[in-house]
Amino acid sequence: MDATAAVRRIRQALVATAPLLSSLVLVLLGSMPLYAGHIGVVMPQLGVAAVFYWTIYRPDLMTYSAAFAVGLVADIVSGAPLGSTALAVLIVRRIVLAQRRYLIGKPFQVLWVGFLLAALAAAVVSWCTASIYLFRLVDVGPLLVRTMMAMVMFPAVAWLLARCQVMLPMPRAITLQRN
Amino acid sequence: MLKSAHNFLGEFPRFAFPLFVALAIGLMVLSRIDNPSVVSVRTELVDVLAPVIDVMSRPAAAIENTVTQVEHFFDVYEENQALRLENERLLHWQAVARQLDAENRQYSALLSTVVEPREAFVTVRIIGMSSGAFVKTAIVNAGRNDGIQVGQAVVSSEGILGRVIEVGSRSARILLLTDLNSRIPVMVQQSRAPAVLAGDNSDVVSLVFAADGAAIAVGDRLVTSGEGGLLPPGLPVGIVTGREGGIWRVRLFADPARVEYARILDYALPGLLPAAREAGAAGELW
Repeated sequence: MDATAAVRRIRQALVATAPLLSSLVLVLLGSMPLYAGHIGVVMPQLGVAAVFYWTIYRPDLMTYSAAFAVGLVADIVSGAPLGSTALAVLIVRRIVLAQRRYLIGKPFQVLWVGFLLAALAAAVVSWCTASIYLFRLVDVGPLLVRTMMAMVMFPAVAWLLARCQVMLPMPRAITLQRN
Repeated sequence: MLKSAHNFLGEFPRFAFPLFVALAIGLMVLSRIDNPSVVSVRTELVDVLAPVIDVMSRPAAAIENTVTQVEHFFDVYEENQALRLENERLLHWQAVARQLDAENRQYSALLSTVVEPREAFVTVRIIGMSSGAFVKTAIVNAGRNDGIQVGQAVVSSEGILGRVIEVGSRSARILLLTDLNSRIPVMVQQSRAPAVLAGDNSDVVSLVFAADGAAIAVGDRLVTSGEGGLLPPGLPVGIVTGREGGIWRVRLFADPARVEYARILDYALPGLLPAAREAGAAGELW
């Protein structure tokens, strides 16, 4: 294998994993202690935002396996039961994939509303799994606060991921079975 | 070129969703039954991620510090006045405390009281914090290599934050007092009435197992009672804020959201410890 082929391979690998890696970075950012002034702990689940974004723009690279990995890392870092965030993220990918054509190429505000719905869906899934897992109705407050916080931070996340996305070469055609 | 990109289930996309959903649910079931391998895998993975989180959290901490400094800059005058007053009050209290300390030593000597074991501590930085629907935990940047063990108390300068529940070689997970699974023995500082402090994943915690008619009142300070021998007695916990539906509510002194550095206490109660630690590790006392 000559040098250019090796470089091309590394490039391909980077392109293929860029959505996954950027999502993982956001998951870790979301786990940072955030103690700005008097606000207290409000840490949004940025992994949901990342999976939402990449499922719309590069569903070929944000596969179910990648989404699962993002959710699993979020669970590992947060100490939540393994698989709980993964489940929420998988469901978000599934919903977004079905609604993708209504969101792609639309003004940012539409995308934002779409994200609100996706984040709410993720919160509902989290609430249900938590209630079943803990065998009691858990408090909705913290979940809502986190969802709102993710909402507020979504433009920044989308901006960052868009910077990342323009560096990726376009696929010839996204052929994807909508399942 | 990109067609072959990394979906290893690319040939069977139809099955990817149900397969991963099943995998997620399976993992949750394993977590629910406290499968030891799931717990250890998670601890090891956090250990691997800890240096990354540590490095990433430093700029975040720097930004927060700057924000706080700017905030403080604007109320420096009021704060100065308040601190002067507080300093005067504290000097008075210092004199009282010295007096009481001397008296206490005398009485202890007279009564031949058994001396409480001294506690060593490790100062750690909180690098990760989670507040989801499930858990209220934090990750710190010290672990087994630094002498951290399961069951040890974590305190800030204001009071107790929680206890160590998982230890990796260079990171540890702390169960905060607000977590649903957190139960610690406490007592009212004045009346010495015992109770158990329980979290419910919200920001306020409550007192359970307080005796009916126990001498508890709004405004009472709570400290750890040291019962069970796992936590040192006398650590400040919080203040009783009121009673809702027959349950005393408590506001904690230490707000984990504001703490960057904490101390993990190595409270060695001779003889009692190995068994007690094992019980803590197995989750029996939680």
